[in-house]
Amino acid sequence: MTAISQLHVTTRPLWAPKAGNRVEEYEDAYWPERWLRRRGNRLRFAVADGATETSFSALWAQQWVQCYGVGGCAPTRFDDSLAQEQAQWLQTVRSKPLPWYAEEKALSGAYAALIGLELLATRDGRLLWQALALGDCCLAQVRHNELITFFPAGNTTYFTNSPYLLSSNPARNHELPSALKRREGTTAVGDTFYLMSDALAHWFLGAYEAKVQPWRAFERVTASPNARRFHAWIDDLRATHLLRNDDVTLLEIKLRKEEDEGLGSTSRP
Amino acid sequence: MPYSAEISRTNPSCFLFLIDQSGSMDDPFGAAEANRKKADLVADAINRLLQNLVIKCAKEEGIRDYFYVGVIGYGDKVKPALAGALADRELVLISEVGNTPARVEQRMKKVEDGAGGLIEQPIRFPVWFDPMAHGATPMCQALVMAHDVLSKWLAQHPDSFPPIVINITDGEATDGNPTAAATALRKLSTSDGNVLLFNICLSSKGASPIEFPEDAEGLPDEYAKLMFDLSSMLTTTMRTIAQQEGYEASEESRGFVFNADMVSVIKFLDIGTRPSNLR
Repeated sequence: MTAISQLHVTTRPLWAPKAGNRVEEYEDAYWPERWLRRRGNRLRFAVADGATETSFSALWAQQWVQCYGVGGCAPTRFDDSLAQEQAQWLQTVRSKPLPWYAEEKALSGAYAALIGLELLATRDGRLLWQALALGDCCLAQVRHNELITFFPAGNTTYFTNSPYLLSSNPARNHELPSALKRREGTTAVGDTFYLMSDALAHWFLGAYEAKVQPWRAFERVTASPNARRFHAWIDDLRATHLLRNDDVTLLEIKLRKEEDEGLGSTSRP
Repeated sequence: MPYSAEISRTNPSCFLFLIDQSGSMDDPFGAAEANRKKADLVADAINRLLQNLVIKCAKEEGIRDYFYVGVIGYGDKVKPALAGALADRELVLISEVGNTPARVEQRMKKVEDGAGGLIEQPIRFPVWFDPMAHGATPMCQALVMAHDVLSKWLAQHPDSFPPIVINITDGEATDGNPTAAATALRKLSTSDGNVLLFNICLSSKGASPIEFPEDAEGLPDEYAKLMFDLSSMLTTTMRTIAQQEGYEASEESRGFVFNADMVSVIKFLDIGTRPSNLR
Protein backbone atom coordinates (compact mmCIF):
# COMPACT_ATOMS: atom_id res chain seq x y z
CA MET A 1 0.00 0.00 0.00
CA THR A 2 1.33 3.44 -0.89
CA ALA A 3 1.99 5.68 2.11
CA ILE A 4 -0.15 8.82 2.18
CA SER A 5 2.03 11.88 2.64
CA GLN A 6 -0.69 14.47 2.47
CA LEU A 7 -4.19 14.87 3.73
CA HIS A 8 -6.91 15.87 1.30
CA VAL A 9 -10.04 17.22 2.93
CA THR A 10 -13.12 19.19 2.14
CA THR A 11 -14.65 21.36 4.85
CA ARG A 12 -18.20 22.58 4.91
CA PRO A 13 -19.44 25.01 7.54
CA LEU A 14 -23.16 25.45 8.13
CA TRP A 15 -24.65 27.69 10.74
CA ALA A 16 -27.80 29.40 11.95
CA PRO A 17 -28.44 32.03 14.62
CA LYS A 18 -30.81 31.39 17.49
CA ALA A 19 -34.42 31.75 16.30
CA GLY A 20 -35.57 35.29 16.98
CA ASN A 21 -32.04 36.69 16.80
CA ARG A 22 -30.55 38.63 13.92
CA VAL A 23 -27.75 37.15 11.82
CA GLU A 24 -25.27 39.64 13.30
CA GLU A 25 -26.16 38.36 16.78
CA TYR A 26 -24.79 34.88 16.00
CA GLU A 27 -22.10 34.19 18.63
CA ASP A 28 -20.59 30.89 17.45
CA ALA A 29 -17.48 30.87 15.29
CA TYR A 30 -15.78 28.32 13.03
CA TRP A 31 -12.49 27.74 11.25
CA PRO A 32 -11.89 27.63 8.34
CA GLU A 33 -14.47 30.19 7.48
CA ARG A 34 -15.32 28.92 4.01
CA TRP A 35 -16.42 25.79 2.23
CA LEU A 36 -13.19 24.65 0.67
CA ARG A 37 -10.73 21.94 -0.23
CA ARG A 38 -7.52 21.75 1.71
CA ARG A 39 -4.45 19.63 1.55
CA GLY A 40 -1.36 19.40 3.72
CA ASN A 41 0.22 17.20 6.31
CA ARG A 42 -1.13 19.16 9.27
CA LEU A 43 -4.58 20.75 9.07
CA ARG A 44 -6.62 22.43 11.78
CA PHE A 45 -10.33 23.04 12.27
CA ALA A 46 -12.32 24.57 15.11
CA VAL A 47 -15.76 25.57 16.36
CA ALA A 48 -16.38 27.89 19.32
CA ASP A 49 -19.55 29.02 21.03
CA GLY A 50 -19.73 32.39 22.82
CA ALA A 51 -21.89 32.35 25.95
CA THR A 52 -25.20 34.20 25.66
CA GLU A 53 -25.07 35.70 29.13
CA THR A 54 -21.77 37.46 28.55
CA SER A 55 -20.95 40.29 26.19
CA PHE A 56 -18.37 40.51 23.43
CA SER A 57 -18.53 36.73 23.39
CA ALA A 58 -18.78 36.49 19.58
CA LEU A 59 -15.48 38.35 19.40
CA TRP A 60 -13.99 35.98 22.01
CA ALA A 61 -15.22 32.89 20.16
CA GLN A 62 -13.86 34.23 16.86
CA GLN A 63 -10.46 34.87 18.42
CA TRP A 64 -10.25 31.27 19.66
CA VAL A 65 -11.11 29.51 16.42
CA GLN A 66 -8.57 31.69 14.69
CA CYS A 67 -5.95 31.11 17.39
CA TYR A 68 -6.42 27.36 17.15
CA GLY A 69 -6.73 27.39 13.38
CA VAL A 70 -3.38 29.08 12.80
CA GLY A 71 -1.51 26.80 15.18
CA GLY A 72 -2.01 28.20 18.69
CA CYS A 73 -3.14 26.32 21.82
CA ALA A 74 -0.23 23.85 21.84
CA PRO A 75 -0.29 21.77 25.05
CA THR A 76 2.92 23.31 26.34
CA ARG A 77 2.01 26.85 25.36
CA PHE A 78 -1.71 27.05 26.10
CA ASP A 79 -1.18 29.60 28.87
CA ASP A 80 0.69 31.83 26.42
CA SER A 81 -2.15 31.57 23.91
CA LEU A 82 -4.65 32.40 26.65
CA ALA A 83 -2.75 35.47 27.85
CA GLN A 84 -2.35 36.71 24.31
CA GLU A 85 -6.04 36.28 23.47
CA GLN A 86 -7.13 37.92 26.73
CA ALA A 87 -4.94 40.95 26.01
CA GLN A 88 -6.27 41.22 22.46
CA TRP A 89 -9.89 40.93 23.62
CA LEU A 90 -9.41 43.61 26.27
CA GLN A 91 -7.75 45.95 23.81
CA THR A 92 -10.65 45.61 21.38
CA VAL A 93 -13.30 46.07 24.09
CA ARG A 94 -11.55 49.14 25.49
CA SER A 95 -11.09 50.73 22.08
CA LYS A 96 -14.37 52.63 22.24
CA PRO A 97 -16.44 54.25 25.01
CA LEU A 98 -19.20 52.05 26.41
CA PRO A 99 -22.40 52.86 28.31
CA TRP A 100 -22.34 51.99 32.03
CA TYR A 101 -24.03 48.61 31.63
CA ALA A 102 -21.77 47.44 28.80
CA GLU A 103 -18.71 48.55 30.75
CA GLU A 104 -19.87 46.71 33.87
CA LYS A 105 -20.74 43.59 31.89
CA ALA A 106 -17.39 43.61 30.11
CA LEU A 107 -15.67 43.58 33.53
CA SER A 108 -17.01 40.06 34.03
CA GLY A 109 -15.37 39.00 30.78
CA ALA A 110 -16.49 37.00 27.78
CA TYR A 111 -16.80 33.21 27.80
CA ALA A 112 -16.72 30.57 25.09
CA ALA A 113 -16.63 26.82 24.53
CA LEU A 114 -14.10 25.48 22.04
CA ILE A 115 -13.52 22.28 20.10
CA GLY A 116 -10.39 22.09 17.97
CA LEU A 117 -9.32 19.26 15.65
CA GLU A 118 -5.92 18.72 14.09
CA LEU A 119 -5.36 16.12 11.35
CA LEU A 120 -1.84 14.89 10.73
CA ALA A 121 -0.20 12.81 8.01
CA THR A 122 3.02 11.37 9.42
CA ARG A 123 6.15 10.60 7.41
CA ASP A 124 5.55 6.90 7.85
CA GLY A 125 2.14 7.22 6.26
CA ARG A 126 -0.10 7.16 9.31
CA LEU A 127 -3.10 9.48 9.57
CA LEU A 128 -3.75 10.80 13.07
CA TRP A 129 -6.07 13.22 14.76
CA GLN A 130 -5.70 15.25 17.93
CA ALA A 131 -8.49 17.20 19.56
CA LEU A 132 -8.78 19.82 22.24
CA ALA A 133 -12.05 20.66 23.98
CA LEU A 134 -13.21 23.04 26.62
CA GLY A 135 -16.90 23.17 27.40
CA ASP A 136 -19.67 21.61 25.39
CA CYS A 137 -18.74 21.99 21.72
CA CYS A 138 -18.17 18.45 20.44
CA LEU A 139 -16.54 16.30 17.78
CA ALA A 140 -17.89 13.20 16.07
CA GLN A 141 -15.85 10.82 13.92
CA VAL A 142 -17.81 8.61 11.51
CA ARG A 143 -16.37 5.71 9.51
CA HIS A 144 -18.27 3.26 7.30
CA ASN A 145 -21.56 4.54 8.66
CA GLU A 146 -20.54 4.00 12.28
CA LEU A 147 -19.80 6.50 15.00
CA ILE A 148 -16.33 5.64 16.26
CA THR A 149 -15.57 8.72 18.38
CA PHE A 150 -17.63 11.34 20.17
CA PHE A 151 -15.72 13.84 22.26
CA PRO A 152 -15.77 15.29 24.93
CA ALA A 153 -19.39 14.50 25.94
CA GLY A 154 -20.09 10.92 27.00
CA ASN A 155 -23.87 11.20 27.09
CA THR A 156 -26.64 13.78 27.06
CA THR A 157 -26.33 14.54 30.79
CA TYR A 158 -23.07 16.30 29.88
CA PHE A 159 -25.08 19.23 28.53
CA THR A 160 -26.18 21.76 31.12
CA ASN A 161 -26.87 25.47 30.95
CA SER A 162 -23.78 26.24 33.03
CA PRO A 163 -20.66 24.64 31.51
CA TYR A 164 -17.14 25.64 32.50
CA LEU A 165 -15.88 27.85 29.67
CA LEU A 166 -12.80 29.73 28.52
CA SER A 167 -12.88 33.21 30.02
CA SER A 168 -11.31 36.46 28.90
CA ASN A 169 -11.15 37.32 32.62
CA PRO A 170 -7.85 35.98 34.02
CA ALA A 171 -9.49 35.55 37.44
CA ARG A 172 -11.97 33.06 36.04
CA ASN A 173 -9.77 30.36 34.55
CA HIS A 174 -8.43 28.71 37.70
CA GLU A 175 -9.90 25.31 36.88
CA LEU A 176 -8.79 25.40 33.26
CA PRO A 177 -6.11 22.68 33.59
CA SER A 178 -8.70 20.13 34.66
CA ALA A 179 -11.45 21.47 32.37
CA LEU A 180 -9.34 21.37 29.22
CA LYS A 181 -9.68 17.96 27.56
CA ARG A 182 -7.40 16.47 24.93
CA ARG A 183 -7.76 13.27 22.96
CA GLU A 184 -6.11 11.68 19.94
CA GLY A 185 -6.69 8.77 17.61
CA THR A 186 -6.14 7.43 14.15
CA THR A 187 -8.10 8.30 11.05
CA ALA A 188 -8.34 7.11 7.46
CA VAL A 189 -9.38 8.26 4.03
CA GLY A 190 -13.17 8.12 3.93
CA ASP A 191 -13.62 9.25 7.54
CA THR A 192 -15.85 12.21 8.23
CA PHE A 193 -15.44 14.47 11.26
CA TYR A 194 -18.17 16.79 12.48
CA LEU A 195 -17.46 19.67 14.83
CA MET A 196 -20.58 21.17 16.36
CA SER A 197 -21.72 23.64 18.97
CA ASP A 198 -23.64 22.43 22.01
CA ALA A 199 -27.28 22.49 20.89
CA LEU A 200 -26.55 20.31 17.87
CA ALA A 201 -24.17 18.08 19.85
CA HIS A 202 -26.91 17.55 22.44
CA TRP A 203 -29.38 16.61 19.72
CA PHE A 204 -26.80 14.31 18.08
CA LEU A 205 -26.14 12.33 21.25
CA GLY A 206 -29.84 12.17 22.11
CA ALA A 207 -30.58 10.72 18.68
CA TYR A 208 -27.68 8.30 18.95
CA GLU A 209 -28.86 7.13 22.38
CA ALA A 210 -32.27 6.54 20.74
CA LYS A 211 -30.57 4.21 18.21
CA VAL A 212 -30.86 6.68 15.35
CA GLN A 213 -27.88 7.44 13.13
CA PRO A 214 -27.77 11.24 13.44
CA TRP A 215 -24.88 11.63 10.99
CA ARG A 216 -27.25 10.53 8.22
CA ALA A 217 -29.15 13.77 8.77
CA PHE A 218 -25.86 15.66 8.56
CA GLU A 219 -25.08 13.88 5.28
CA ARG A 220 -28.43 14.91 3.86
CA VAL A 221 -27.99 18.60 4.65
CA THR A 222 -24.35 18.79 3.62
CA ALA A 223 -25.15 17.09 0.30
CA SER A 224 -27.13 20.15 -0.70
CA PRO A 225 -25.10 22.81 -2.54
CA ASN A 226 -26.68 25.63 -0.55
CA ALA A 227 -27.62 26.10 3.08
CA ARG A 228 -31.40 26.18 2.63
CA ARG A 229 -31.85 22.49 3.40
CA PHE A 230 -29.82 22.90 6.59
CA HIS A 231 -31.89 25.87 7.74
CA ALA A 232 -35.17 24.10 7.00
CA TRP A 233 -33.98 21.07 8.96
CA ILE A 234 -32.91 23.23 11.93
CA ASP A 235 -36.27 25.03 11.84
CA ASP A 236 -38.07 21.65 11.94
CA LEU A 237 -35.98 20.39 14.87
CA ARG A 238 -36.68 23.58 16.82
CA ALA A 239 -40.37 23.54 16.00
CA THR A 240 -40.65 19.99 17.32
CA HIS A 241 -38.56 20.86 20.42
CA LEU A 242 -35.90 18.32 19.50
CA LEU A 243 -33.30 21.07 19.31
CA ARG A 244 -32.77 23.74 21.96
CA ASN A 245 -33.14 27.26 20.59
CA ASP A 246 -29.55 28.41 20.44
CA ASP A 247 -26.97 29.37 17.84
CA VAL A 248 -26.12 26.29 15.79
CA THR A 249 -22.89 25.46 13.98
CA LEU A 250 -21.88 22.35 12.07
CA LEU A 251 -18.45 22.00 10.47
CA GLU A 252 -18.07 18.91 8.29
CA ILE A 253 -14.55 17.67 7.47
CA LYS A 254 -14.25 14.81 4.97
CA LEU A 255 -10.99 12.99 4.31
CA ARG A 256 -10.72 12.18 0.65
CA LYS A 257 -8.31 10.22 -1.53
CA GLU A 258 -7.69 13.24 -3.64
CA GLU A 259 -9.27 16.57 -4.24
CA ASP A 260 -12.76 16.38 -5.65
CA GLU A 261 -14.43 18.91 -7.82
CA GLY A 262 -17.74 20.59 -7.24
CA LEU A 263 -17.74 22.90 -4.29
CA GLY A 264 -20.55 25.36 -3.91
CA SER A 265 -20.61 28.70 -2.20
CA THR A 266 -20.93 29.09 1.56
CA SER A 267 -24.49 30.29 1.89
CA ARG A 268 -25.36 32.59 4.71
CA PRO A 269 -28.77 32.45 6.41
CA MET B 1 -43.25 21.57 32.54
CA PRO B 2 -44.26 24.89 34.17
CA TYR B 3 -41.83 27.79 34.31
CA SER B 4 -39.95 26.58 31.22
CA ALA B 5 -41.02 29.23 28.69
CA GLU B 6 -38.10 30.79 26.87
CA ILE B 7 -37.39 34.36 27.96
CA SER B 8 -36.58 36.28 24.80
CA ARG B 9 -37.24 39.57 23.09
CA THR B 10 -40.15 38.02 21.22
CA ASN B 11 -41.50 36.47 24.42
CA PRO B 12 -40.37 38.74 27.29
CA SER B 13 -41.16 38.32 30.96
CA CYS B 14 -41.84 40.95 33.60
CA PHE B 15 -40.44 42.12 36.95
CA LEU B 16 -42.59 44.21 39.25
CA PHE B 17 -41.04 45.62 42.41
CA LEU B 18 -43.16 46.78 45.35
CA ILE B 19 -41.29 49.14 47.65
CA ASP B 20 -42.30 49.89 51.22
CA GLN B 21 -41.77 53.66 51.69
CA SER B 22 -43.61 53.95 55.00
CA GLY B 23 -42.46 55.89 58.06
CA SER B 24 -41.26 52.70 59.76
CA MET B 25 -38.58 52.39 57.08
CA ASP B 26 -36.93 55.36 58.79
CA ASP B 27 -35.97 53.02 61.66
CA PRO B 28 -32.45 51.67 61.88
CA PHE B 29 -31.69 48.36 60.22
CA GLY B 30 -30.52 45.41 62.38
CA ALA B 31 -27.76 45.61 64.95
CA ALA B 32 -24.79 45.17 62.65
CA GLU B 33 -25.66 48.21 60.56
CA ALA B 34 -27.46 50.29 63.18
CA ASN B 35 -26.15 53.46 61.57
CA ARG B 36 -28.19 52.75 58.44
CA LYS B 37 -31.91 53.13 58.05
CA LYS B 38 -34.10 50.51 56.49
CA ALA B 39 -35.05 53.02 53.78
CA ASP B 40 -31.37 53.26 52.79
CA LEU B 41 -31.20 49.49 52.56
CA VAL B 42 -34.36 49.42 50.44
CA ALA B 43 -32.97 52.01 48.04
CA ASP B 44 -29.73 50.03 47.77
CA ALA B 45 -31.67 46.80 47.25
CA ILE B 46 -33.86 48.14 44.44
CA ASN B 47 -30.99 49.96 42.73
CA ARG B 48 -28.86 46.81 42.82
CA LEU B 49 -31.73 44.67 41.57
CA LEU B 50 -32.38 47.02 38.65
CA GLN B 51 -28.67 47.33 37.92
CA ASN B 52 -28.20 43.55 37.86
CA LEU B 53 -31.28 43.03 35.74
CA VAL B 54 -30.02 45.57 33.19
CA ILE B 55 -26.56 43.97 33.16
CA LYS B 56 -28.07 40.52 32.70
CA CYS B 57 -29.78 41.77 29.53
CA ALA B 58 -26.82 43.85 28.30
CA LYS B 59 -24.84 42.89 25.24
CA GLU B 60 -22.17 44.86 23.45
CA GLU B 61 -24.71 46.43 21.10
CA GLY B 62 -27.13 47.51 23.84
CA ILE B 63 -29.77 46.10 26.18
CA ARG B 64 -31.97 43.28 24.95
CA ASP B 65 -35.56 43.66 26.07
CA TYR B 66 -36.03 40.34 27.83
CA PHE B 67 -38.11 42.01 30.56
CA TYR B 68 -40.65 44.68 31.30
CA VAL B 69 -40.03 46.36 34.64
CA GLY B 70 -42.22 48.28 37.04
CA VAL B 71 -41.66 49.79 40.48
CA ILE B 72 -44.63 50.61 42.74
CA GLY B 73 -43.93 52.55 45.93
CA TYR B 74 -46.28 52.38 48.90
CA GLY B 75 -46.23 54.84 51.79
CA ASP B 76 -47.98 58.19 51.71
CA LYS B 77 -49.37 57.06 48.35
CA VAL B 78 -49.43 53.95 46.26
CA LYS B 79 -48.03 54.83 42.86
CA PRO B 80 -45.36 54.12 40.24
CA ALA B 81 -42.03 55.07 41.80
CA LEU B 82 -39.37 55.17 39.10
CA ALA B 83 -37.69 58.55 39.04
CA GLY B 84 -36.75 60.96 36.26
CA ALA B 85 -37.92 60.40 32.71
CA LEU B 86 -39.70 57.16 33.69
CA ALA B 87 -41.81 58.74 36.47
CA ASP B 88 -45.48 57.73 36.62
CA ARG B 89 -45.07 54.82 34.18
CA GLU B 90 -46.33 51.48 35.44
CA LEU B 91 -44.20 49.25 33.23
CA VAL B 92 -41.24 50.10 31.01
CA LEU B 93 -38.82 48.05 28.93
CA ILE B 94 -35.57 47.04 30.62
CA SER B 95 -33.64 49.00 27.96
CA GLU B 96 -35.45 52.16 29.04
CA VAL B 97 -34.46 51.48 32.63
CA GLY B 98 -30.81 50.97 31.68
CA ASN B 99 -30.64 54.01 29.46
CA THR B 100 -32.43 56.46 31.77
CA PRO B 101 -31.28 56.22 35.39
CA ALA B 102 -32.01 59.30 37.51
CA ARG B 103 -28.23 59.77 37.80
CA VAL B 104 -25.00 57.80 37.52
CA GLU B 105 -22.60 57.96 40.46
CA GLN B 106 -18.94 57.00 40.51
CA ARG B 107 -18.15 54.27 43.04
CA MET B 108 -15.22 52.00 43.77
CA LYS B 109 -15.59 48.26 43.35
CA LYS B 110 -13.23 45.52 44.46
CA VAL B 111 -12.47 43.12 41.64
CA GLU B 112 -10.15 40.10 41.46
CA ASP B 113 -6.79 40.87 39.90
CA GLY B 114 -6.32 37.36 38.46
CA ALA B 115 -3.38 36.67 40.78
CA GLY B 116 -5.37 35.87 43.90
CA GLY B 117 -5.70 39.45 45.11
CA LEU B 118 -8.25 42.23 44.94
CA ILE B 119 -7.90 45.65 43.38
CA GLU B 120 -10.24 48.62 43.61
CA GLN B 121 -11.61 49.82 40.34
CA PRO B 122 -13.88 52.81 39.65
CA ILE B 123 -17.28 51.88 38.24
CA ARG B 124 -20.31 53.86 37.24
CA PHE B 125 -23.24 53.14 39.56
CA PRO B 126 -26.69 54.09 38.26
CA VAL B 127 -29.37 55.28 40.68
CA TRP B 128 -33.07 55.08 39.92
CA PHE B 129 -34.41 55.26 43.42
CA ASP B 130 -33.61 57.38 46.50
CA PRO B 131 -34.47 56.50 50.11
CA MET B 132 -37.96 57.58 51.19
CA ALA B 133 -39.86 56.95 54.44
CA HIS B 134 -43.18 58.65 55.10
CA GLY B 135 -46.71 57.65 55.99
CA ALA B 136 -48.43 54.33 56.60
CA THR B 137 -47.80 50.90 55.02
CA PRO B 138 -50.64 50.25 52.55
CA MET B 139 -49.26 46.89 51.40
CA CYS B 140 -52.70 45.51 50.52
CA GLN B 141 -53.31 48.45 48.18
CA ALA B 142 -49.89 47.89 46.60
CA LEU B 143 -50.68 44.21 45.98
CA VAL B 144 -54.04 45.19 44.44
CA MET B 145 -52.30 47.70 42.16
CA ALA B 146 -49.78 45.01 41.18
CA HIS B 147 -52.73 42.76 40.32
CA ASP B 148 -54.20 45.45 38.07
CA VAL B 149 -50.91 46.23 36.35
CA LEU B 150 -50.09 42.58 35.71
CA SER B 151 -53.61 41.66 34.59
CA LYS B 152 -53.23 44.16 31.75
CA TRP B 153 -49.74 42.93 30.91
CA LEU B 154 -50.75 39.25 30.98
CA ALA B 155 -53.55 39.87 28.49
CA GLN B 156 -50.85 40.88 26.01
CA HIS B 157 -48.30 38.22 27.00
CA PRO B 158 -50.33 35.06 27.70
CA ASP B 159 -47.48 32.61 26.99
CA SER B 160 -44.62 34.37 28.72
CA PHE B 161 -42.47 33.14 31.56
CA PRO B 162 -44.69 34.30 34.46
CA PRO B 163 -44.02 37.74 35.96
CA ILE B 164 -42.01 37.92 39.17
CA VAL B 165 -43.16 40.35 41.84
CA ILE B 166 -40.54 41.28 44.45
CA ASN B 167 -41.93 43.03 47.52
CA ILE B 168 -39.38 44.82 49.73
CA THR B 169 -40.78 45.62 53.19
CA ASP B 170 -40.42 45.39 56.95
CA GLY B 171 -43.68 43.47 56.90
CA GLU B 172 -45.92 45.71 58.98
CA ALA B 173 -48.93 46.34 56.73
CA THR B 174 -51.28 49.01 58.08
CA ASP B 175 -54.24 48.47 55.76
CA GLY B 176 -55.15 44.98 56.87
CA ASN B 177 -53.91 41.45 56.41
CA PRO B 178 -52.29 41.20 52.94
CA THR B 179 -52.95 37.45 52.59
CA ALA B 180 -56.02 37.73 50.35
CA ALA B 181 -54.46 40.30 48.02
CA ALA B 182 -51.22 38.28 47.82
CA THR B 183 -53.14 35.08 47.08
CA ALA B 184 -55.11 36.80 44.29
CA LEU B 185 -51.87 38.09 42.81
CA ARG B 186 -50.28 34.63 42.87
CA LYS B 187 -53.36 33.20 41.14
CA LEU B 188 -52.72 35.28 38.02
CA SER B 189 -51.02 33.14 35.42
CA THR B 190 -49.71 32.61 31.91
CA SER B 191 -49.78 29.29 30.06
CA ASP B 192 -46.38 28.65 31.68
CA GLY B 193 -47.40 29.04 35.32
CA ASN B 194 -48.61 31.37 38.05
CA VAL B 195 -47.23 34.79 38.92
CA LEU B 196 -44.37 34.45 41.40
CA LEU B 197 -44.46 36.60 44.52
CA PHE B 198 -41.14 36.89 46.34
CA ASN B 199 -40.54 38.92 49.50
CA ILE B 200 -37.54 40.69 50.96
CA CYS B 201 -38.11 41.37 54.65
CA LEU B 202 -35.89 43.90 56.41
CA SER B 203 -35.98 44.07 60.19
CA SER B 204 -34.82 46.47 62.90
CA LYS B 205 -33.96 43.44 64.97
CA GLY B 206 -30.37 42.30 64.82
CA ALA B 207 -31.22 38.90 63.38
CA SER B 208 -28.93 37.03 60.99
CA PRO B 209 -29.75 36.92 57.28
CA ILE B 210 -31.90 34.02 56.08
CA GLU B 211 -32.12 33.19 52.37
CA PHE B 212 -34.67 31.00 50.58
CA PRO B 213 -35.79 29.04 53.66
CA GLU B 214 -38.12 26.05 53.46
CA ASP B 215 -40.00 26.96 56.65
CA ALA B 216 -40.57 29.96 58.90
CA GLU B 217 -38.46 28.55 61.70
CA GLY B 218 -35.85 31.03 62.87
CA LEU B 219 -37.74 34.10 61.69
CA PRO B 220 -37.87 36.53 64.60
CA ASP B 221 -41.33 38.07 64.35
CA GLU B 222 -44.86 37.54 63.11
CA TYR B 223 -44.41 40.02 60.24
CA ALA B 224 -41.51 38.08 58.78
CA LYS B 225 -43.42 34.82 59.21
CA LEU B 226 -46.41 36.28 57.38
CA MET B 227 -44.19 37.45 54.52
CA PHE B 228 -42.72 33.94 54.32
CA ASP B 229 -46.22 32.47 54.12
CA LEU B 230 -47.11 34.82 51.26
CA SER B 231 -44.04 33.90 49.20
CA SER B 232 -44.09 31.54 46.19
CA MET B 233 -41.85 28.48 46.00
CA LEU B 234 -38.70 28.75 43.90
CA THR B 235 -39.22 27.09 40.52
CA THR B 236 -37.31 23.91 39.65
CA THR B 237 -34.83 25.77 37.42
CA MET B 238 -34.32 28.49 40.02
CA ARG B 239 -33.69 25.85 42.69
CA THR B 240 -31.16 24.07 40.47
CA ILE B 241 -29.24 27.26 39.74
CA ALA B 242 -29.46 28.30 43.41
CA GLN B 243 -27.86 24.99 44.38
CA GLN B 244 -25.14 25.50 41.75
CA GLU B 245 -24.53 28.93 43.26
CA GLY B 246 -24.06 27.38 46.69
CA TYR B 247 -27.46 27.98 48.31
CA GLU B 248 -29.06 25.22 50.35
CA ALA B 249 -32.24 25.21 48.31
CA SER B 250 -34.76 22.38 48.65
CA GLU B 251 -38.07 21.57 46.94
CA GLU B 252 -39.81 23.57 49.66
CA SER B 253 -37.59 26.67 49.40
CA ARG B 254 -39.52 29.91 49.12
CA GLY B 255 -38.70 33.10 47.27
CA PHE B 256 -38.12 34.86 50.57
CA VAL B 257 -35.09 36.46 52.20
CA PHE B 258 -34.80 38.07 55.62
CA ASN B 259 -32.30 40.89 56.22
CA ALA B 260 -30.63 40.07 52.92
CA ASP B 261 -30.87 41.16 49.31
CA MET B 262 -32.27 39.12 46.45
CA VAL B 263 -29.88 39.96 43.63
CA SER B 264 -29.19 36.24 43.32
CA VAL B 265 -32.73 35.68 41.99
CA ILE B 266 -31.69 37.45 38.80
CA LYS B 267 -28.95 34.85 38.34
CA PHE B 268 -31.61 32.16 38.76
CA LEU B 269 -33.32 33.19 35.50
CA ASP B 270 -32.38 31.37 32.32
CA ILE B 271 -31.82 33.58 29.28
CA GLY B 272 -29.08 31.39 27.77
CA THR B 273 -25.76 29.77 28.56
CA ARG B 274 -24.37 31.05 31.84
CA PRO B 275 -20.83 29.76 32.43
CA SER B 276 -20.26 28.05 35.77
CA ASN B 277 -17.07 30.11 36.20
CA LEU B 278 -18.91 33.44 35.70
CA ARG B 279 -19.37 35.37 38.94
